[in-house]
Amino acid sequence: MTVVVLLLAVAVGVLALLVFGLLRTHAEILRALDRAGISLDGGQTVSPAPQAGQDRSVNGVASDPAAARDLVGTVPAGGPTKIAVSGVERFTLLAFLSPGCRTCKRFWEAFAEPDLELPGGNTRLVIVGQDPAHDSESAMAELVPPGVKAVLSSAAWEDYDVPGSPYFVLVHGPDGRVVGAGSALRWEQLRDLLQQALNDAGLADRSEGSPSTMHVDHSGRSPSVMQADQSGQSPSPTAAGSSGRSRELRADQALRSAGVRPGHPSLYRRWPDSNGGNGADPAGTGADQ
Amino acid sequence: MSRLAAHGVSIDVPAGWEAELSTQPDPAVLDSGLESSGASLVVVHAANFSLPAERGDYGSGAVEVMDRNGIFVTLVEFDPASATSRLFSHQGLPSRLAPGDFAPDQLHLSLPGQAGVQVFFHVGSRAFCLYAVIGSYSMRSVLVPELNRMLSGFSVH
Repeated sequence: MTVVVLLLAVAVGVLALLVFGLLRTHAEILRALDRAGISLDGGQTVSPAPQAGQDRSVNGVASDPAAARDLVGTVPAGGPTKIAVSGVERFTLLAFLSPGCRTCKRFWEAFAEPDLELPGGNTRLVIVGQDPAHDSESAMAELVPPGVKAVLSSAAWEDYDVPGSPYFVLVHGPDGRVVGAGSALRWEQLRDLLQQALNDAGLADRSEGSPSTMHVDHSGRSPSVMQADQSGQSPSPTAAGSSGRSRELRADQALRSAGVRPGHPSLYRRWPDSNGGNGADPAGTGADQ
Repeated sequence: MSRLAAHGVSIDVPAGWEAELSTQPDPAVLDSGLESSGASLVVVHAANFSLPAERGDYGSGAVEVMDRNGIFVTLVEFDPASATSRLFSHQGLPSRLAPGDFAPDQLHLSLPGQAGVQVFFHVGSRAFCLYAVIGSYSMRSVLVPELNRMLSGFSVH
């Protein structure tokens, strides 16, 4: 009898060890999945960040620096819209979010903060959902914070090769290139990654955290890949500023399109300075002073 | 060039421009004393700068952030009953505006340096107002041709 009891006790002990081992393995698997950005809650997933150094063309997005595309779709609970992201003077942060994605909830909340500061200075946030056939339009319309631009465009998801939500793409408007793309689990993490991508591209603000002059690098480098588990600081920006240059190019383009070319007589015409100002208003209305 | 189209209005939006086509809320929803028109009255906004998410029909919210090079244009549809009125007697969508059409005193929201123009017209049984704002009155000879290129991509059926 004693022997049987002892055998049973040993068996129970061995089984307990087996169960403990299985639970530990299970926990390790869950932690690994969480690190990879995959949540098992409700079957919703977060796209894993691409690996550092991976060529974006491998993922279907060309490594061409001019890969950024304007967005065409519909406003949630609204009509058709086109949003320009390339050929504009600012950065655009495209946030590819879904109403049903649990991790996205943190970003919906973060983007509703009125004092949210986006890296890059004069950066515009655009939330991009999928077409109403994929995502609930009314749910999107409810989630979009007031004052934040949003568009439903599955075409944009394809253009930017979005593997899942949440996913983020930072576009440098003046030369229409993607500076960085990837995923993150929290806004703070994303903000750091964006800043790092800007640093890597030589596009960071000289004075971080304030909407200041943008320093543009025309090196044409491929976009950085933002990696959620990456850490460490990048070198400080070294590129020369050129926001004035892009404005000058835009003015030149507008003048050329109006038929005003170098040497055009209108450039040398003197207008009477009726208001003691700079004489820029030929009608003398002073409206522009 | 991207094309937006809805409710019988289409726009070819060139690179660097943004546009949005929406419908006005039914007046009967806002005021129970009014009769429902039953028609979807269109509002089109287009600009050569980033359009803010929240804007008034005549561009409030947008023209305030417009710089000297900015151009904003809106097409606002009125009740079809207005199409036969004298105010809307001009036939067809204006596709060419002259720099001289713009004046600082034609602005819905008077802002320093800006100038605007407002044109009422009808297309078939539909009545519209085209309202455009340029960021700099003194640059109207440069900005208005750019606006005209945009307007050439508008069409109303």
